[in-house]
Amino acid sequence: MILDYAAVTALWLSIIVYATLGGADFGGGIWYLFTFGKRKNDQRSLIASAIGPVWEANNVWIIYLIVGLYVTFPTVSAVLATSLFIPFTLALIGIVLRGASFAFESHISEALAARAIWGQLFSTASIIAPFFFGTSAAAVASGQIRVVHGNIPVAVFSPWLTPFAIVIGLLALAICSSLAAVYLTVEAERRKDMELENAFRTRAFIALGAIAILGIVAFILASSEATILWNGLIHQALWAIIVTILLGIATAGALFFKRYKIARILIIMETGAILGTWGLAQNPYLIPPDITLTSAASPPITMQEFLISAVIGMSILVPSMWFLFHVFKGVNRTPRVHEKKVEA
Amino acid sequence: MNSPAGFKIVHGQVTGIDPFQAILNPSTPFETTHMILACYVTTGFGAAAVYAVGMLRGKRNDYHRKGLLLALAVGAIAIPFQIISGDFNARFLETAQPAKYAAIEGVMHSGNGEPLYIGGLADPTTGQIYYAIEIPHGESLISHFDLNSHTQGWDSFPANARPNPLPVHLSFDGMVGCGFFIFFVGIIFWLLYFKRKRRVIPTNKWLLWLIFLSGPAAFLALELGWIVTEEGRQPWIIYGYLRVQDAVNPAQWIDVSFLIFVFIYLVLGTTLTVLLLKLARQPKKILPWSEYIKVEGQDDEEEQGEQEEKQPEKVGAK
Repeated sequence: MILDYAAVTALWLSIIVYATLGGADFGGGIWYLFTFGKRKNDQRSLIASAIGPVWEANNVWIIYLIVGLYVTFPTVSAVLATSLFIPFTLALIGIVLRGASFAFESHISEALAARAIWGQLFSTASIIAPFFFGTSAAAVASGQIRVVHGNIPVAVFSPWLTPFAIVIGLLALAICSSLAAVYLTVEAERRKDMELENAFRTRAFIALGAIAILGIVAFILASSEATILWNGLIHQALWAIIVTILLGIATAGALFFKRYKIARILIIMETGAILGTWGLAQNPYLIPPDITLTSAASPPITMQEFLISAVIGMSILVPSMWFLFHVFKGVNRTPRVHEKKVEA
Repeated sequence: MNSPAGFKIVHGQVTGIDPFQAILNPSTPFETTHMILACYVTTGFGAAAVYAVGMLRGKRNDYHRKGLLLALAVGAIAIPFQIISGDFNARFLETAQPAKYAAIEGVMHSGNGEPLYIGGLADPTTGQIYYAIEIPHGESLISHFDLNSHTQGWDSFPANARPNPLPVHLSFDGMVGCGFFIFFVGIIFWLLYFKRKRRVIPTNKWLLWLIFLSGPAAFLALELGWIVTEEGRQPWIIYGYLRVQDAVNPAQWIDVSFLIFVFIYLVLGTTLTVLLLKLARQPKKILPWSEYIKVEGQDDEEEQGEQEEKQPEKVGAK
């Protein structure tokens, strides 16, 4: 029981980490679409230079999540893979096209038409993936994926095309956009580029506003479309909702006072709070109302081995990720090399 | 999946799970070794092929010679071990997965003193093998070192528990053929190399052509090997426990999504190839060291004069 909760917490944390790192990459792609004005190319190059070194590494978390879910809650992964086959495939297409088109776009130097096509594909794919992840999450949370007598629904449309699911899909886009916008203000500040800084500050405000509006709409829709989630929100997670709202306001405040590094920490916490609230409200269900945490869990020995290997894996992964970010996002971006003056 | 281990099925429930037993199952020492060696062979000969092509196009400089030498050292050391490992695999399969073994060897009917079938079309509908080169008693000899030993045939297994022998047998022979071709290319190269007193690598045109061919042959062998093990396990996905038809996602757009992904990867693969070729054809920029190295404490804003003042101090401090 404790092992089950430990495993699901580890997996939920990886969702949060993926959302805050990978989500920001998607957000970068979304803002790529909304670059305009005479500094369009500068905005694009800021996005490209921010994503460039790390986008591939961030996908580690979703791989960890998929493998972890497959091992620890095999029933859940079977149900999700069959019932949400279509949105998952679309999200996967988004991820594949996004990574490739980003790499291609930045390596094509002369053929401008081809470059524009790949750039367009990059931003479109960046919208596809988080949107369908959001709708899939809503399909699960709304309790519409029913497993009756062990019969798993196959490639259904209705659960992830409800108004609630679409609002959650848009909410996912808003979260990604605000993460990216806040991160980019920090990058722009480092470049001492006031104009870009303000451009992304405005975008961050817009995205945060979208989170607030979509969050309220989703909450209202949940009362009729996702009753289990709504009851959970009211009875189990009310304090978490309040924390989430306060964090959102604090993020906006930090942006207002141009404390971008604080805003960056706050938006990460905000994302974690939104996803954490969802998890808390859904407890003890994994796929409400038919699959609970304990009914889907693998035997204790598997859980134990999963947690041990997760600890071993993380002790390698976390320092590596830290080093990656330290190298590319830290203060000393150009490595300092000691040089002796060479006598001619 | 070929020799599932580390669990029991009691009343349809999986129990007694032992993850380490599952990882270190009976197939592990055979299949894993074979695959690891395959990586060395393929990488070695694949890289050698690139240098061989370069040399055939007239780039016979030191860079190409050393590249060829290093790549062929890796490949040629790995390939004999790979052939031995393959032999172990086949012997293991005869007891572990006899239906796969029969399909691999193209032995359609059980019998004593079976011939070794090389190539040929093993027809699953008639249960016969056509157009194969037969070496009398060869199968019995190489598998049991006994001219009249017994070999279990493909048709002795129930129709719903045996693979289609046509692709399995052809892939196996293709893999073995490619493997021995590579092996001989490696031997010829190193014989010629050590025959020369000055230890200069042989650059005969015909040899370079053979090395060039061994690159694709290595990749072909790798892929054919996967076809042997995966097709040979059919109709099981987890051998003896779960059939492919019971395991597959029942979603109806599986085929559509497969076609979409094939299309996407064709487009991506083509674009990548075009871009890489462009990148390779760009003349290399020759950078002076000063463009790589930044002096400590030097910022972009600092003036040239300040740097030069600082440098002697740094040298002195060391």
